[in-house]
Amino acid sequence: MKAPKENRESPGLWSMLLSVLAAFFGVQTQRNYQRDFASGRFWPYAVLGIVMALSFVGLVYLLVALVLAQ
Amino acid sequence: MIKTILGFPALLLFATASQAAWEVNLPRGVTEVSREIYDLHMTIFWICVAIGVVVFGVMLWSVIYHRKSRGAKAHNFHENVLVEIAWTVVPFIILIAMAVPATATLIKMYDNTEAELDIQITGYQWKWRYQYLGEEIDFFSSLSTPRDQINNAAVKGEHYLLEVDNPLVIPAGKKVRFLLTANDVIHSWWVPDLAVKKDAIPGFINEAWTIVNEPGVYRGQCAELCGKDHGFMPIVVEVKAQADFDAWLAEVKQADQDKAAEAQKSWTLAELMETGEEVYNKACLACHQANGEGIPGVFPGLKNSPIALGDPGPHIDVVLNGKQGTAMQAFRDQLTAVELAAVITYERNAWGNKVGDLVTPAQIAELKE
Ligand code: HEC
Ligand SMILES: [Cu+2]
Repeated sequence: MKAPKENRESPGLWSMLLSVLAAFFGVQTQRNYQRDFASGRFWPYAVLGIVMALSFVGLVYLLVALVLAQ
Repeated sequence: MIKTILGFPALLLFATASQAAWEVNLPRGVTEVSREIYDLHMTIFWICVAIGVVVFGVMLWSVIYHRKSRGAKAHNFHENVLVEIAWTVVPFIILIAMAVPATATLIKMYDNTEAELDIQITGYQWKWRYQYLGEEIDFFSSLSTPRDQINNAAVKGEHYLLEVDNPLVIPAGKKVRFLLTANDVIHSWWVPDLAVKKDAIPGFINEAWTIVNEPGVYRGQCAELCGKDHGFMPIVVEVKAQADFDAWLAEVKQADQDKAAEAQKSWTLAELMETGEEVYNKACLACHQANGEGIPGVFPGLKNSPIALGDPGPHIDVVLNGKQGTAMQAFRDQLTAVELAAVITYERNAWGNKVGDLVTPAQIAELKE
């Protein structure tokens, strides 16, 4: 089943990525916040969030391995 | 009143000067690692002081110079992305800056490799057991402060509650690794001067290490609440120069042999009673109490107890092997044959118990085989 095509354009991948990053950081501008909630869909953000959380874990893991290797 | 307030800091200063032992700050300790931890602690302390000065300075300045009575008007705005980013990034950078030296120290602290001596440390309620792996040395270390001092019946000594019968002895300048575990509940082996504080957990082995260059005596305590006598199981570490350490090793081994030989000689009731009382006061009194009546509901009395008055077999069994799942531990390895025989004989003939029989050290030595 296909969702009916929305009449407005949803944010592109890059701006969604930036929004998720902003959420990780904890600071977001009111303008982007309005845009995301008005025209974004839930799942792409959730998936991006999970992927980035996992990458963060991987990054910390790598960093520790790097520090311990010295 | 004013005088009291002014006098107070002066008093504190005086107290610090007169009582060198009274320290508020982290001790610097006597090992390379402990000094490094101290320096790290001071660095981070001063960073915190600086942050405190800046934050409270800005706050105070705003409170004083922008107060309502001076006509200041609140500036009502919602977001300011720049400021929000700044106050997130700045602490982040500070944290990373603190993590760099902290990580370097932690890595050093956890480097348990290349030890020259391994000692297994086991926490018991309420004493420590030290086993020198590879050497045939295995002994218990318990509080030696006299009960009179604890009960305020005598003047307290210099090392009140920080003295033991058998200290842990280690060689100076050698890397010594500690393998920590516990027999009953969680304890924690803590010697501030060595910057070693490690939990001793039943069923687990934790590792720690130290290199102490200066011979000396260093004291510590159990740092994990472990029951009634948690405050009465101190730690004393004696660091000896290598030659003295070797002499100590030989001496302990000789003493162990002498004890084995002692078990074979014949003992009179009076001799066993005398030794038995000493052993009882050191190893059993904490639970079964000086009058042998125990603490009802927690530790059974031995006075008039059917076990102490009955056949010696079950009595010997409970003292040697303990009672699984209770605070009554197995004393088989903790005490020598002579001490075991003496304390059992003592229990059968003290506090009005009058069995009159005598458990011989030779009999116990055979059971201990
Ligand atoms: C940490 C506390 C503790 C210490 C120390 C301790 N005991 Fe016990 N003891 C107990 C407890 C608890 C029991 C009861 C066990 C049970 O539930 O059967 C017990 C039971 C006994 C009993 C059996 C008494 C009876 O009537 O069932 C004897 C005998 C005994 N202990 C002797 C000793 C001797 C000897 C020592 C010293 C070498 C000693 N205990 C040290 C806690 C202790
Ligand atoms: Cu303890």
